[in-house]
Amino acid sequence: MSAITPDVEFAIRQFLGHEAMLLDNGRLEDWVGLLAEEILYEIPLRISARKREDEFPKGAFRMHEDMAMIRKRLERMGTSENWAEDPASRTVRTVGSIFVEEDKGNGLYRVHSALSLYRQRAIDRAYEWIPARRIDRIRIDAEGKCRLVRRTIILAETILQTPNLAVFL
Amino acid sequence: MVMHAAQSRPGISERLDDILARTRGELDRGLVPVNIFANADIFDAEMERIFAKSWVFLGFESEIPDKGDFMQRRIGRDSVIVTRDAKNEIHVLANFCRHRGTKLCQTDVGNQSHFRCPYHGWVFKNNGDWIGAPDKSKAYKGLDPKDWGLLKAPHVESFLGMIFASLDPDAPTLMDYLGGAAWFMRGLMDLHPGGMSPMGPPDRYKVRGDWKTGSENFGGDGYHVGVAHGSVQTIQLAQGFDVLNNYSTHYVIPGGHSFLGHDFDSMFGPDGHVWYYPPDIQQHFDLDRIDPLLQDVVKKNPPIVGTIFPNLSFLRFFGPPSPGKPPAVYTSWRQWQPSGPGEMELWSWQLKWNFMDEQQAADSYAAGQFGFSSAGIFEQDDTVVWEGAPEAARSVWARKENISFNMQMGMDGMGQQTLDESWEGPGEAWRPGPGEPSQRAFYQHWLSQMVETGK
Repeated sequence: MSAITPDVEFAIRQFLGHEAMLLDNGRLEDWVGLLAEEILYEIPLRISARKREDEFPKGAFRMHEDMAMIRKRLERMGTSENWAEDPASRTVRTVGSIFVEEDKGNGLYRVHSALSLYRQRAIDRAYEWIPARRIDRIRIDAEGKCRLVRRTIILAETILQTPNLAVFL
Repeated sequence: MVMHAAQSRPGISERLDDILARTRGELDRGLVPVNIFANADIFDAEMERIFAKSWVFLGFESEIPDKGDFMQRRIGRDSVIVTRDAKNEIHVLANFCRHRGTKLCQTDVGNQSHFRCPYHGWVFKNNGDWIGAPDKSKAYKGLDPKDWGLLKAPHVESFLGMIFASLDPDAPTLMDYLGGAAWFMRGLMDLHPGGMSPMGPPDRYKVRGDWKTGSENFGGDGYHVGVAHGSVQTIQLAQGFDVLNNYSTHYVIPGGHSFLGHDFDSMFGPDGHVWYYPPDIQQHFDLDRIDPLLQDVVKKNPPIVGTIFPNLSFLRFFGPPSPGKPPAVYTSWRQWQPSGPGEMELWSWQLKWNFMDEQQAADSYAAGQFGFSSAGIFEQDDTVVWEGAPEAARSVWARKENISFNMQMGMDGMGQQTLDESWEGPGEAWRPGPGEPSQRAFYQHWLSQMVETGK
């Protein structure tokens, strides 16, 4: 097992702060560098239901992306036809309520966090707020470097109030 | 002074009549006045004259497969509960208690034999009947249950597994309402006796665009693809955008419905399959289930988008479930739910053929969601370009100048599109593109409903 030492917690907190800074600053190539090749980035579809276990219908998702899809998205953002993000939204994300758990060992940790993302598009006066919980699998290698292996994003909203998910969460 | 000013302002019906009269004059010239896209009077009239009048799509029978199942849906802005009762009958009920208006259902789905109001406890069966209240004998001895059931849509019908309802007691049958659109829907969904069903609940997201823009776009706007979605071709996840319009047919069906066909064989080379379905899917299709003319349409000019008036559209196209993997064909249902003047919720389902194995369905779902969903690489651009019309409609300058939008493409003297006189199917076939006969017909029908229903 991989114990949660202060060093581990510090490395994970630094990692989450680092990627938040990269994403808010539009440094997407650098951000992709923090992902493991086998990354799974997923946003399950959520509905309003009496029981919590019924809120996430099996197999339904808004996004379910591997590295090839994420790279294609970056390629698309690099074209001059990326109207959803032209110009890129100005975002500020707060990542907090971090809770680290052991996962399967071998330096793999399950990291829970809350994300509060402010997004203002184009020259809008209005803004959108995307609140979510994230369950990450983060691997720390022998040199102490972190990689994001899996990110599961649990949106607070069942009906999304931002018109698209053209920003990474 | 204030009283005087208030009296001198035209009333709602005059303001409405004014816009509708101007719309009639403009539409005949292929123009659409900007005013109709974010106007509170127009919006309120649309709810009454179109959404409370038309047959409105509510979902699929397979979304409520068991007795007692229900789902909360919309007719216009109204919340309704679609239930399956103990006799397997489907009902569409207004989602509020007749006693004081409290919402009876707060979840998207569930299973209940009855609905109990959380305020004073009135109880209704899932077929809408009033069946009781606390202290009934002391409180409501004389109450006639027949008068206090939930409001119930007078007409509910299903077609190819899709549930529709109309709130108009005098509505035509669903088949009469759909007319020639039903014929095309068979070509799309009835190639296998098992039919189609949605994979999961709808993906829902708020778009600051008018519901009509979605309906009109998916009814036949092949012209925007190369620009609005140009990025998808640039990154080599789609092809043929530059020649798309040269191979298109606008099928314009009376009643505001329309379909946009494309000659896939000329665009991508003949492969002998419909909609470019790979052989492992194609082999399940039995084209003899549909008539010979419709077979010809799905083989040569299959519709890739279309709209059922007022606010249901579909899309069938292909793309990889992940870049580098072989393309999968996806079928996406989308509903443009009006939520206020100039804004809507976009509801999107991905459908599978019920014969598909798990992998085929998963690939189709992944390809569809990658393209058309709240994160879709096609759709996210639509959600932004559609924000313009309501903004323009709120512009004092635009209104002062009596601005109209242009829908003249393909009209006489404008381009190459002509009416195919040899077309023997329902409605009209206009070819080739680019053209906007579907969009003009959509707004003409919208106008006729707004004017005639308002009388």
